Amino acid sequence: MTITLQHYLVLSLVLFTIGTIGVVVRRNALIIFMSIELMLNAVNITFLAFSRWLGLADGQMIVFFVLAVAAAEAAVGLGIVIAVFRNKATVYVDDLRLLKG
Amino acid sequence: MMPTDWSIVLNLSLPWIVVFAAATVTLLASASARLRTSPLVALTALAGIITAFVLSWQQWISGSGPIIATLAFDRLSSFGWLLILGIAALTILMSFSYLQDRHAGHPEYYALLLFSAIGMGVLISGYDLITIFIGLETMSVAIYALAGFFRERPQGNEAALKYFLTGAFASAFLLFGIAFLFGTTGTTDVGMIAAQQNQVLSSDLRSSFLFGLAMLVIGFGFKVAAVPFHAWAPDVYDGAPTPITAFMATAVKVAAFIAFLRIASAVLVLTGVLWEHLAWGLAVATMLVGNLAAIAQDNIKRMLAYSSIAHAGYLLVAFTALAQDPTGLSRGILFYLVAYLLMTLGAFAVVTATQETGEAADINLLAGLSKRRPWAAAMLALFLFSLTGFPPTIGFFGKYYLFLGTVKAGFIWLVVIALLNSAISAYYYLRPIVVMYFHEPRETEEKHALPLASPLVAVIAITAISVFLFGLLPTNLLAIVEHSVMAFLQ
Repeated sequence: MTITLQHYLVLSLVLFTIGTIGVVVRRNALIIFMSIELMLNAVNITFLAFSRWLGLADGQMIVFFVLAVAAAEAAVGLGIVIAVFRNKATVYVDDLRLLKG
Repeated sequence: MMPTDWSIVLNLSLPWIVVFAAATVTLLASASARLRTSPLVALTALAGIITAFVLSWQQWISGSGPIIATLAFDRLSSFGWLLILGIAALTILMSFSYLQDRHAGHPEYYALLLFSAIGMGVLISGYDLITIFIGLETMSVAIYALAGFFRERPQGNEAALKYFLTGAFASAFLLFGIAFLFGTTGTTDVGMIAAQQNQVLSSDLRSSFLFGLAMLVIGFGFKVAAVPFHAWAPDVYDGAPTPITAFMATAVKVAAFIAFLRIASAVLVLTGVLWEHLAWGLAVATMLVGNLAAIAQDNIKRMLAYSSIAHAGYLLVAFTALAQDPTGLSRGILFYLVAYLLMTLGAFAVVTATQETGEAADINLLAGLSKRRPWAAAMLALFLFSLTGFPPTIGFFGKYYLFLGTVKAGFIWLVVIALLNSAISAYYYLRPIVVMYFHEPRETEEKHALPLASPLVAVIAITAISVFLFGLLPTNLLAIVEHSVMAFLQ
């Protein structure tokens, strides 16, 4: 059996969906963040699969941009999680309910 | 592809380089203990912004530049960048006394503000989906940090975490959309996607292409806080430092909407009735939820957050009709953005003034403001009247041009719904005015407040004069806006 574009797309859709469900269902800020990273990596698989299918190197270059942005986001995001943990000693988003209207 | 002439790129992006240099100098100043609390830092940031403002003003006057590589240096870019620089300058003025009152003169604050402004410039000029994504992230990552800048404040932490998680979630959707557009057209260039669109839409890639577009709209929907992607906005606007809330409510919306305008008028409108139905639904939901939820708010920052959601809804009304009359409606959208940013910045500046050295923003704290600070109260009343859309303020003409264009394009019922929403909005916009002028202050309130810091007064004065002046003479601004949109549509 040869692996075609469809296989990769299905894989990335499945990973993206798992990530989305993780963000919606889980309450631990770190797990939510991991789920977002899973979504971003699912996107990377899509880019690579399309890049290979189209025979263009653009998609592979874009993946590096995505990785760099994800790293920057991780730095700031984990910093915010640490600030929250210092104040509240929790990383569960349900415990954060000061802001309500 | 033509080889890129980098000297032209360097020349055209000089305003960004100036801002970047100012941000770097500001950041370096944080290493010195003496400079950390010095007003010189804010002045450096301000000087960078003003230099960049003059440079881009010259660029605007010299007309539309070319699209080079992935950036469009047209008049729309220069105009949007002028708006962003103006907002950044006013935010710095607003922040100066805010930070001093809280004994926090951190240079990082100004550096992050400038970095975020550069991201917005890239977002506005981006003519390639990946460049737009990079600009969006540069803007957002800096603002995540700014929202939680006072890291000892639990409310600030909470706001930053919520903004970060929803923002990163949204950018994953945006990126997934870009991946599918890339896959179906083989390019991420906005112009080339538009050129191939009709061919793709009639091939068997149609559903993948539309899926990509839908994901792209979801990503932008989060950034401009359109319903149903708005849930983060009230919490984040409430918990962030007030000048940063003002920056988020104005600059982020302006940048995201101008980038969205570029994409919508090139790509989305070609899907015809599909886009019209989607935008119709988004616009109506955003207006209704924004306005109805704003009524229930007792916190003025949350109220303004829902009001900014409602205003995003009014803008989406014009996006619905964009295919029928691109020039007229782009003009209306841009004019409305100017009106919206002036009155919102002004309102937040007065809120900053009433917060004194605290953080509370309860609406009842405004009681007796007309006696304590008669000028601030009068100006807040002006901004709130303008947000409602009373003549002769800029808010009235903003809505007038926006809705007139939409009616001409044939969307009469949509405009009727929008006008009914404006009527609802009068209820919650007038409530702070009633509280300010007719409610007695509590005993503990001091009768005479200290004079306001002069930078803050300057912000209130600049925005109030603009709101009033452009309300009396809207045609001058309209002409500028018209020149800005002409080039990018050709």
